[in-house]
Amino acid sequence: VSGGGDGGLRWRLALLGLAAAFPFAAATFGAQRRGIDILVLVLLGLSMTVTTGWLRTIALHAPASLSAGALATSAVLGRGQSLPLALLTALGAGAAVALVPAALTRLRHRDLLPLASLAVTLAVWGVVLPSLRLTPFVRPVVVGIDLGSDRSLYLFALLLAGLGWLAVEHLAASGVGRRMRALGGDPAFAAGTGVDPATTWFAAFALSGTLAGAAGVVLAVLVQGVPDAGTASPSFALVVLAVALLGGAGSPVGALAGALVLGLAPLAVGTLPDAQALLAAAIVVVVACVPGARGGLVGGSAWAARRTARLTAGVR
Amino acid sequence: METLLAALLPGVALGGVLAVAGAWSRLARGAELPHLGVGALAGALALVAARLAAPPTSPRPVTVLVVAVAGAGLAALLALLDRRVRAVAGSGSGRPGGPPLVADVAVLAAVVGAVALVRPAIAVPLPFGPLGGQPGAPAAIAAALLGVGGAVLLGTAAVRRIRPVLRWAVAGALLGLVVVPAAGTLTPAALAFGGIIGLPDTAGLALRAAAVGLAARRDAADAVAAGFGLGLAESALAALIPLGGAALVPTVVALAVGLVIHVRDRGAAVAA
Repeated sequence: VSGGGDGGLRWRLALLGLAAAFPFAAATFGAQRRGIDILVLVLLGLSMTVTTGWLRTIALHAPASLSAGALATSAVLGRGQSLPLALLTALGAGAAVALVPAALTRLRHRDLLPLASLAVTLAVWGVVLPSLRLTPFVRPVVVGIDLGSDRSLYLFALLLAGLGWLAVEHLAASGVGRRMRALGGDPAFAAGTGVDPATTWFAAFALSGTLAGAAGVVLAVLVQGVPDAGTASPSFALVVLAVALLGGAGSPVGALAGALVLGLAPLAVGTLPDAQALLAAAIVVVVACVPGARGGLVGGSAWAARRTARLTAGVR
Repeated sequence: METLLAALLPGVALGGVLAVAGAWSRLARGAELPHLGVGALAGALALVAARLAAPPTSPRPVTVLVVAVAGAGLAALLALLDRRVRAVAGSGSGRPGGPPLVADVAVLAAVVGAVALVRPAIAVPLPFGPLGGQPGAPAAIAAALLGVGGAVLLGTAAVRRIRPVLRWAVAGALLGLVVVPAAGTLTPAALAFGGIIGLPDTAGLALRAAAVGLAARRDAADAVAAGFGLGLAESALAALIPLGGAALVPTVVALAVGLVIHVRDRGAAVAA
């Protein structure tokens, strides 16, 4: 799935076609909202792919970057400015917030990142968000497309998620991605091979924050203001972590799989008020406790494919 | 003056909870860093206490006993989880540049999951502080005294010598004993709020306890001072600036300063 070539391209185009057709096939208000929520989770999962998957550390800043992106979007659109300007501001705000825990700990003290990043999330959720009063705005029109309907907003979110996916996949195969993964694997060895640890470290967090900031743009336009506290809270950081871990940290496909499962969880267990949080907690605990679960769904399916191939070869 | 004292009561009670949770977070990892996850148990226990105490006729001593036993049991389970994850991940060494706090995050996730599981539909966020309820004066003083006693007990050599699972169970039971009065669940009137109960801020309590653990660098007295300092500062700010997020500023500042000092001390230790 993650490989290149005609097969990989066909698979991606089919997936994109299915995702684009979804709001036309499922025309109900709830279904389109759920689709937007899942695309937000995809962007957040991609954000975690960079830090948790490539840098192999646990950074829980995604809700803070998302909130910063949403705040920036609300501030810019509330002043009557254009969506592209709001988007640029939001991406920058998301990246800036992600750089705070990265600067607090640096690579040398990366074991402190869960604490530092949760502290930043707490600061944004508990101090910044309740203190700001922003003007509500009407959903904007961008290049002639009115984002007033949930269907068009879904397609806008799909565009952002698709671009995010392409960026992460492209970077994964590029020198930048290789340097980030090398730094996550063995910082001393990576430094010995010419990788600049500080630049790579901060670049990874900036990229991660940018992706989460893009999710904030979608949520801000959806609610025409700052999203509710639930998506900014430290507890939601565990949901985002679970999105990355379920699919297999480090894999964009894994982020999609995790977002689908976590996004649809409230439908499957509808009677519980916190079904998503419960499922996320279970995923984090299982992945942390079971060595074989580290690869997530993607790693698990690859393992199953290898195992099947080995068994088939044995039968022959 | 009386108004100010009344406004500080929730801070006194929260201080007792944070003293125990902070001392436990310091004790739990057996290393230089506080444990990120254990303080969250205060939120889970506050929710259990609120559920048990919600019927007006429920006997209060039974609530106290059940919450203390639940605290001990849950803490023992968390100790086993923490040990298992550390064994798998090789985390918890506390060495600079080592693996991230996987066990801490797993413990935090487990408690957040437990709260999601036991949360009734009538539990909603209310502006009653992180424990979800407000204590009266006697309950706040009881929570403060229990908190000081619990933190001192956790700092003794006798507790430090016992096996980790038992040590966590003792800490969980102590936390349960403090949480019941601190969350206002001893007073039926505190819960009669239109048939709903306050939802505790589970992850926020974990971070408050971690902030106390970062500040409590030497002994139990440090945990007591930091716990009450944080609790009182939070309630004073909440009373003085009720709108906005001023109440959480002390926790955020304590975490930021604690992390910076911690990183600086590590650097000095490496240089030495």
